[in-house]
Amino acid sequence: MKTLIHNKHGFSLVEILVAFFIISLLAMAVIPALTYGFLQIDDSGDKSKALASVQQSVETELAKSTVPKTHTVTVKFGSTNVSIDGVIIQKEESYGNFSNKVKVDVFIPNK
Amino acid sequence: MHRKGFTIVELIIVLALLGIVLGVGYNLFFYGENTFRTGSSKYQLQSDVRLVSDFISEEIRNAVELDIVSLPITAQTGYHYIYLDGATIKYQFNGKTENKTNAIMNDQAIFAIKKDANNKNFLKITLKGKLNGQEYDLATEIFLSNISNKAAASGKAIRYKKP
Repeated sequence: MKTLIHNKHGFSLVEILVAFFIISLLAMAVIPALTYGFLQIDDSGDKSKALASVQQSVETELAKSTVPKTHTVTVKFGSTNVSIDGVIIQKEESYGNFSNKVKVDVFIPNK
Repeated sequence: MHRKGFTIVELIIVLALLGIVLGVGYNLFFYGENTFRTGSSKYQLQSDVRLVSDFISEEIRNAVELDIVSLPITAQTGYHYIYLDGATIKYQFNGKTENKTNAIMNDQAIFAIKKDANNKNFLKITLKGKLNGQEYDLATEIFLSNISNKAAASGKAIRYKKP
């Protein structure tokens, strides 16, 4: 059987260098995994910011004294149905490095 | 070469290779270490800021009375207080004080009462945090549904009553 290492006394310099080269290639493959974690954390930070900003625009909508009546929500209490007119608003915002979006749907009853 | 040991050239090559390997290994280790440290700072900063922002929103939304007050606060019974004490946001009610963040906040006015064209009031919260060289800021506005026609003001402490 042919063996990879012919020299019985140890490794040759070339063999060691090749081994180093392979190991460093593997190590370089691991480094992006570390920085990818950063990207994820920054991304979730951006998501929180986007959500805060969406919340702010929803609050502005909530403050309006009149809203159009485009939707009706019916809630059943036993045998009684209670209908509430109002509007469903959607607010969305994109954020981060991966072009993700946060989207919030809110039903605002007419006052 | 052979029975008597290594030649000086062999020895130097071994040392050089060993140096390279250890140098690279050491750098890689500290790179990982730094990455982890920075990552956990970022995480802690973000979660602190986000949690306190959620807490303030929940508390304030249905408040029936809300004022910007000056520091140091003089606690009155029945009132809740949220204030920035140095770098920490604290909450006080009934003589009990709770820390709502670690000591990470920028020392600045975090609350601002705003009034829109229809005399509706909003509370704007501006939170800026800093930890181990990492920075994070979050800002939002909350509609104060039970309060209206209050003049604009800003400061580091609020006093409010819940229904």
